[in-house]
Amino acid sequence: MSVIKYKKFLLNRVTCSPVVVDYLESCLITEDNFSKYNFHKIMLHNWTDNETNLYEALSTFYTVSFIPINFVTQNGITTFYTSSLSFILKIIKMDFLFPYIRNMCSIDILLNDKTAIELFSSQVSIEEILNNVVNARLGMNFELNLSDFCNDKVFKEKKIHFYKLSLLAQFKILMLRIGKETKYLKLSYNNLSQVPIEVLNFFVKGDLIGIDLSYNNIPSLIELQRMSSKIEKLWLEGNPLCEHIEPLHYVKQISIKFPRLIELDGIRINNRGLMLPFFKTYLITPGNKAKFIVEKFITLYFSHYDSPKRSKLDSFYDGNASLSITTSFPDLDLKNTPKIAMFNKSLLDPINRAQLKTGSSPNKLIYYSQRSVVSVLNSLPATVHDRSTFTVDVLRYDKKILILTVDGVYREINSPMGDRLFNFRRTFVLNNFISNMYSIYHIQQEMFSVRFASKEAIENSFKVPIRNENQLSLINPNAEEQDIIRRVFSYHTRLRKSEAEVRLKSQDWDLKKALKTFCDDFKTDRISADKFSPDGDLSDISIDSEVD
Amino acid sequence: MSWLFNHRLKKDYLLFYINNKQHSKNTTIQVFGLNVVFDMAADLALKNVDNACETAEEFTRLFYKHLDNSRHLTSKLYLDAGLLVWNGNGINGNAKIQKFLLDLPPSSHYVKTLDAQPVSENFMPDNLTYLIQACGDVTYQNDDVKKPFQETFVIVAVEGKWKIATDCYRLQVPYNCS
Repeated sequence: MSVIKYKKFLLNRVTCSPVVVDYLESCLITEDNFSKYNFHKIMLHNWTDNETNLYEALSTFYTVSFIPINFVTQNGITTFYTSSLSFILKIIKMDFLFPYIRNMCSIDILLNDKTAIELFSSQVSIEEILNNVVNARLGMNFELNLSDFCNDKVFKEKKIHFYKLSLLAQFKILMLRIGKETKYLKLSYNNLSQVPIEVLNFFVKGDLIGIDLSYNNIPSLIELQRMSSKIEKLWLEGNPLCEHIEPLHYVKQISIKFPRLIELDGIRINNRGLMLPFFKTYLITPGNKAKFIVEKFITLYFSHYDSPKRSKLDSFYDGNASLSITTSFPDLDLKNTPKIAMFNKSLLDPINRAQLKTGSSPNKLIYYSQRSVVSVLNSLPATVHDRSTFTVDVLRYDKKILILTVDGVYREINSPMGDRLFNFRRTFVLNNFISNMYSIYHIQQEMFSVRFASKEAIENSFKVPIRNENQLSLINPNAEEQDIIRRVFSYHTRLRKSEAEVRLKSQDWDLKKALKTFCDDFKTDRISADKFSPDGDLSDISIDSEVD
Repeated sequence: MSWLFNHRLKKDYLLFYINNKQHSKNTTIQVFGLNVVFDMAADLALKNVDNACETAEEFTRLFYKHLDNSRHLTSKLYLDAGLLVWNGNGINGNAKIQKFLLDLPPSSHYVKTLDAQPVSENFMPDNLTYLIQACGDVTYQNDDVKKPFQETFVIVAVEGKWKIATDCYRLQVPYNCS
């Protein structure tokens, strides 16, 4: 059928006849190559609402998907073009009427009004245009960038109103092909209030591992339910769902829905068993080695700092270490002022300024040598740090030096004034030297600033029980764990199973404490001989050598 | 035995002396029969701290004055390759830093505590470097709410002027507010 019948034929309730309908139906069935290059004008009177509502109303009522072109409203008449014959046929079927907010609107159609050449200045169909647009957006590394799709330049040029992303679902051949090739799909800035499942279905069979849904309108996490759980990288920032949710809860919920997730909003997720904080760090040359060293340092240093005697802090410091402390507390009487204030050497304090001016003993502003640094720190009251409040910034990292800053909250315990919370910032300058193929880091310089924790900080810290990583104790152990600890304990003490269990229970399954009390009792001969397992009984112990 | 005792006594005295030097400026000490002039090294160290403190005060005064009132002058305070880490956001280069600062709402900083230390020469042999830590309160956009802030600078002496090599600024706001 190379001749197009009914060119510029005004089709409405009056002019419509079964002949026309038959003709149109046969065009549709034979799927001739010409219908897609012919565009029909849809006309309405007095449409006062916006265009998107019109499209939605039409596509819902006629259950058809179409792509409008060249929308114009002039002199009370609203018009646009479409090449969809199924749409036309449905309008005819419903008698050229459709309901909208208690009104019946009538449609007139101008069949075959324009050809593709007239509209797009070349013989292309919508499908071909779309193919080009989507292909252009397929980048390297299997990344398909459908960000702000509806406002694509090509659409604007050709006056195609691709009014919502889910219209892509009707282009099955294209979507199937591209779905197989895409690993990372970018859907940001598309005004999505739901996850577009119809579109995503095309990617499910492929290797899709990353989705960017940032800066859309997704209202809550429930919308993410039907997404594939193979996802490893996800972006959700800029959506309303992010607004009233606590970050830790956000991360936790998403990690549960997407068990294979590695990166969220561009930040790597820590998948260790402990609830380690979401460090917000910045490195000049981000490298895994630097991050590893920093995390290790923070973990070790603060767990030693929190232990009762701060015993091994000296091994962290270089022999020539220096420490300066500044505090900012409101004027309280001597009893209520925290002990650390006596070490305050802020340059802005009147006493220190006077000293500076007269040039006398400025060296008192800084504590030099490992011994004096450690003795100052040891004289401060016992503390517990809440690692979830920490933020760490790395300022410099090279072969010689590592400078990092830690901000966070800690609590003073066992102090006469009761438990108080403090905000601190500690800057560490660490030197680095290599010995026997190991890199050794020591703190060369430290600056420690502290003040009372702000109300917000207090409300947001110590929400989870703090686990000191230096302790060898179990929290609510189950039977299997209890058995393991008991065996280790028996191995070292040669006590009978029953006695070992009694001792461990009384120390709340804290291995260190139990061993210590055992040693004390043993030295003072308070343990009777029958509590020990006989020498010949090695069966229990030999298995223990594997358990450590 | 007595030799050991004397040796220890002298060593402790030496440490005590250096840590608590208050009065005389030029004294030589006898250690193992050697006349060693310890004071110069100690003196230099002390002077260095002195200078660090003075410089810190002046520099921070100038810095916050610019930050609050004339942000278009802040790029001169940073090295060309300077780094600013602002609440976890990293910005490289003094031009970009100035642009970033200009985009922030007007601020008013009040420094409550100030600390300074000279960075050992082993790390930065070519330029004199100081480490400064300033803490205080800041109000933005004439808001009444005072937020606590902490800022740590690494400043270097370049051609007679002090410039910031790295700057780490954080508002003390807990996670779910930032």
